[in-house]
Amino acid sequence: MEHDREFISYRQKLKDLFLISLKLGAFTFGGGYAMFPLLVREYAQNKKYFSDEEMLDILAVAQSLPGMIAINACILIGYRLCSLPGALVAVLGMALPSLIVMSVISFFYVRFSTNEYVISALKGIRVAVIALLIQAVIKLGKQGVKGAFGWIVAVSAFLFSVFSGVHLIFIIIAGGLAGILYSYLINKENTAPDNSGETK
Amino acid sequence: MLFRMMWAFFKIGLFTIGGGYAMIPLISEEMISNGWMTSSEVTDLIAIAKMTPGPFAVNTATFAGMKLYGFAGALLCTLGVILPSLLITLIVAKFFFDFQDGKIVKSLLSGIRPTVVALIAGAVVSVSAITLFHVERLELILRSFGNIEAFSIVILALSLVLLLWKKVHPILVIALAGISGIVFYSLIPAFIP
Repeated sequence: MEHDREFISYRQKLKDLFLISLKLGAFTFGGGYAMFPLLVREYAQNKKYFSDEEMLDILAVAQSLPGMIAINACILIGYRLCSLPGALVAVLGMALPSLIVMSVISFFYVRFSTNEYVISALKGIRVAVIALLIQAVIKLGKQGVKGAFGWIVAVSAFLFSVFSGVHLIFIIIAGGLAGILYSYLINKENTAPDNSGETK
Repeated sequence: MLFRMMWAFFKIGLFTIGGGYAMIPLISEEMISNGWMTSSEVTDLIAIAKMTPGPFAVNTATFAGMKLYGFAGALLCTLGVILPSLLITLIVAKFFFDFQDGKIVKSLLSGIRPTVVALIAGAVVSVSAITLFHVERLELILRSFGNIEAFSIVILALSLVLLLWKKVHPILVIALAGISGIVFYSLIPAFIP
């Protein structure tokens, strides 16, 4: 199938980018991590634009950059296939369904948020949101908070965010700086690249 | 004012790493401190954005923009939250695709990842303050245990069980909580006067 890629026209690639993004944007619930297996299915298995490994690299980069994982992945995929126009078309396709659906919902939310039944439903839903956030903390915590350093950063960031008026952006910057200071000053040996086992 | 809101979403897009949930603390801070939304409205927004297909932050930006400034607001706020991604990711795609193996990026992320988790934990506290304890300021939580309704405790416990142990889809949990709210606050009082 390798040679087929060469014969796909630029216009066909742009069309694929837009339509795949549009489809995933319209039908995927749950953002980046839910989106990703579907991106692999469309771009690697169905269209054969990338190998599975290339898609994994794209995900790794997408989730370490600022912003939304799904949008970042679209930009990387679109750029690789059709450079800047590809990236723009893929992002547009991804954002368009949200833009339309959420505008309609927002319109109705403003008008119906005084309805008695809507108020009652929201009372229940707001409590469920707490559970969703707790689930996110547990899920992300398992991947993101590791070792003594991770816990110290997490606990101090938590205390600052709850008990001080410091803007959250500064807490995020401080966390990043702590990571750099830690690996360059204190933990030099352990974060050396290709650390093959015992360094002590 | 619309451009201030767009700028707020630009900052939100720029300073969150790790996708949708990581944005919640910043979104809530920006919306509340600028007086664009109350904390109950932010909580509704989280639920609605979660129940709607598409990227969480695009949903959030569209909803907030639309609510305050109509469709132009929706468009500009969405643009604002996407723009940092577009600029940074394009640079990375063009110049250093394998940048994530770099030591600086790795150590930066080793500090940012736990911070983001902590900020979401902070959001749990602030959302709980308003939703469970019905207080605006966190200092008042300790004096407000009497405000917690039995209904909230039951829904919270059931939602946690469904999400964490039964692995039920979040959308279904939100829908069930909404139905319970209607039954408990509207239907039962209507039938039992």
